This record gives sequence, structure tokens and C-alpha cells, in this order.
Amino acid sequence: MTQQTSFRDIKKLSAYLDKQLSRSEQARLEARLAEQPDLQEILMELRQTRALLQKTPRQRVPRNFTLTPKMVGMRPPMPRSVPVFRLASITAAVLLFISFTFNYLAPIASAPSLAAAPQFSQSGGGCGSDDPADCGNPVMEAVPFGIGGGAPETATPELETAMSVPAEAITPEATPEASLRAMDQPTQEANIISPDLPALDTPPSEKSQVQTKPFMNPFQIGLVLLGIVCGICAILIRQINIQRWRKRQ
Amino acid sequence: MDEQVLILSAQKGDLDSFNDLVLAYQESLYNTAFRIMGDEELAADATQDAFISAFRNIGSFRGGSFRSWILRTVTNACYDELRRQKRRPTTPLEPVTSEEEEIESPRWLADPDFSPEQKFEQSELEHAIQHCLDGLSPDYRSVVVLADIQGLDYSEVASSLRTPLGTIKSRLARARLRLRECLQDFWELLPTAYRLDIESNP
Repeated sequence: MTQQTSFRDIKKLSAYLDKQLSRSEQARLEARLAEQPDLQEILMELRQTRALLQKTPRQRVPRNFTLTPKMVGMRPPMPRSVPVFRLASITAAVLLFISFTFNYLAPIASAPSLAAAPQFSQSGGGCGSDDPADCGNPVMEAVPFGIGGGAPETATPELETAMSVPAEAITPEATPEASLRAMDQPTQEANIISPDLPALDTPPSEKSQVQTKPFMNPFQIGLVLLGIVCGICAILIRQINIQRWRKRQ
Repeated sequence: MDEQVLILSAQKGDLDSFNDLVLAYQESLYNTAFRIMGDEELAADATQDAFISAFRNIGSFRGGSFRSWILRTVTNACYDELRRQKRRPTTPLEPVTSEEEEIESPRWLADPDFSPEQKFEQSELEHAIQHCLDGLSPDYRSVVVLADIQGLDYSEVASSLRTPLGTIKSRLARARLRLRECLQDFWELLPTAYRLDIESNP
């Protein structure tokens, strides 16, 4: 750059190269270029520089820069089946809850009718057995089932022993501790279920009714099993869908 | 597909449409980033960041030159990276042999389109230009890269860099002046073919 060539001239020459000057500016500059060889030289050097830059080799991209949903924090849409399975899961859960609630509450609701069984045996005055020894002590028969919390068929040998105590032994003259022990024995042992032992005083017909009444009938069991299988299938399918969805993320 | 249609789809969140735009502009963005950063890895990172940023902000594109708009994202990404480097300067790891000699760019050596002589000339030219570009400040470098290497006109450069047109003219003139001085040192080293070509076709 000579003293006559200022940066303003360089700027004009640079713009002239790119045809960014107005017509009047271009005409004035071309007039100066015709008169000033140093200006021409600078213009040529700038042109060479620009031409060299334009010939800069293009770099090949090392890889594709396409974006994935994960890169931009996009979540792919949930599979269309997910809401269906979500609804199905809720429905199955509610139905199972209702089913189990009814199955558990039904025996409790019918408990008073079961409790009436021993009273019926007392009013009948018999134990349903020809052997008087099997009928036990009338005093002990008066003990309601509710004391032991057990059913008639829960009797044990100890219970039989206690019940075979003569009536005289359990009298007001007997010590309170002994009578209490005698009363407690069936209470403690009655919780042990001994289905092999005969019923204490329930008539066979009623005993069979109580024993044979199932918790759920086969139809209900089938429904529950079907519900469980369907539930497991729904969970599996849902998990598979969610895993596929996560892989797409 | 029409660029405007792709832009509209991308603005609605269609990533596939945006990826079509990525494929159309990735070479331009990567080369811009490479010339500004002077490093392949950093340029690739800046390009990727630029495309991610562009997708997130494509809703703010209100028409005009999409090319200058998307080049702005890459120059911004480069400036961010350069600022980071200024805060935490690092020593670049050049590929060297066991005798501590620098390895020529393996990419060019592996390029089947060039003869060994052409590869050498390309490498010399590229080295000279990049060396001189690195000597410029980022503001001047980005202007000359966009105007002379990417071929944007002044208004597009001004739009890309969000800088007034007058400033662009000044920076470009000053950058060319400095590059002229710098390249004069390399002039005799430049391949004969380039010199003859430039002198005969100014």
C-alpha cells in the first residue's frame, strides 16, 4: 500500500471486485485505476488472493450430520396400543378387586347361618351317634362354638378328654383354676384342624353341607384363572411395546 | 423436494424434512466450520451443534435466505467453541510417526480422485490458506470464509453474522489485505498450476 493508497481505497477496490459499488463510485474508481498503476497493482493482488481463496479445496464431510430424535430431545409417539392396554389393566384390576371382595365377603356375610348349626344340634337333643360316649358331656355341649373359635370338626383327642370329664368334676365346688383349664383346653387346641376326626355334635348331613361348600365354584375359578392369564399377557405385550418404544428413542 | 416445503415441515417438527435440509447443507456448514476452526474434529462438533441448534430454533426463521440463516448457526457454534478454547487452551494432538514426524493428512492420501502430485499440491495450498486464515481474528476470518470461500454475497454475509453491511465491507477488505500479505510468503511455494491459473484468469 502506497502513501497515496489509503484503506478507504482498498475497501473500494475490494468492493469493486465483488461488484458492490454504485455506478458512480465504480466510474470514479475506474478513472483512478487508469491513472494510478499502484492502485492497479493492489487490485490485481486482491483479485489473486480472492481467486486463491475461491480455489480452496472443499473438505469432504467426515460423516453425515443428520439428527436423531434423541439428539434433539424428541420423544417418539407412544404406541397406539399402550392406552388400550393401560385401560385394560385398570379394568382387569378393578374386576379382580370386585371379584375377590365378593368372594371374601360372602362367607363372612353368611357366618350367622353357620353359627346356628350347634344350636340346631342342641335343640335336636342328639348327637347323631348311637354311642352315648360319642355325644360327650351335656355340660360341654352347652359350650358354644364361638368360645374356641373353631368349627365342630376341629375337635382333638385333648378336646375329647376334656369333654369326657364327668359332669361332677366341673361343679361349683371345683377349683376355679381347674374349671378354667378344662375350658381353655378345647379353646387352645380347637384351632388345629383335624379333618380326620369325627364331628363333635354336628349331624352328618349338616357337616357334609359345611364341608362340601367350596370357596369358589369351578366357573369362578376358571374366570379367575382366565383373568390372571389375560393380565399376564397384557403386561407382557405392554412391556414389549414399551421396550420397542424406548429403542426408537 | 422444494426447500420451502421442507422448511415448513421442519418448523412443524418433522425431523425427516429437516434431515433433508441437513444433507443439502452439511458440506457447506462443515467447510465453513473447518475454515474457521482449522480442525476437523472441532469443525465436525460445531457442525453437529449447529444443526441441533438450527432444528430447535427453526421456528424463528421468518423467510429470507435459509442458507445465510443456517450458516449463522454454524458461525455462532464456532465462536462459542473458540471462546471456550480461549478460556481453556489446549494443545492439538497432531498425528505423528514413531520418529515424531508429522503425518500428512491421511484423508487426502486416501482420496482416490487425485494423483499423488495433485494431492501434494492440494495439501500445500490448503496448508498455506489455512495458515493465513488462522492468523486472522475470528471476526475477519468468518467474513472472508463466508464471502470468498462459501461465495455468499455481502447481504447474506451481513445477515449470517448479524453485522452491518458497512462493517462487512471493511472487514472483508482488511482480511483480504492481510491474506494477500500472508500468502505472498507462500506464493513461490504454491503449486505452479495454481499460480498460472490465477494469473491467466484473474
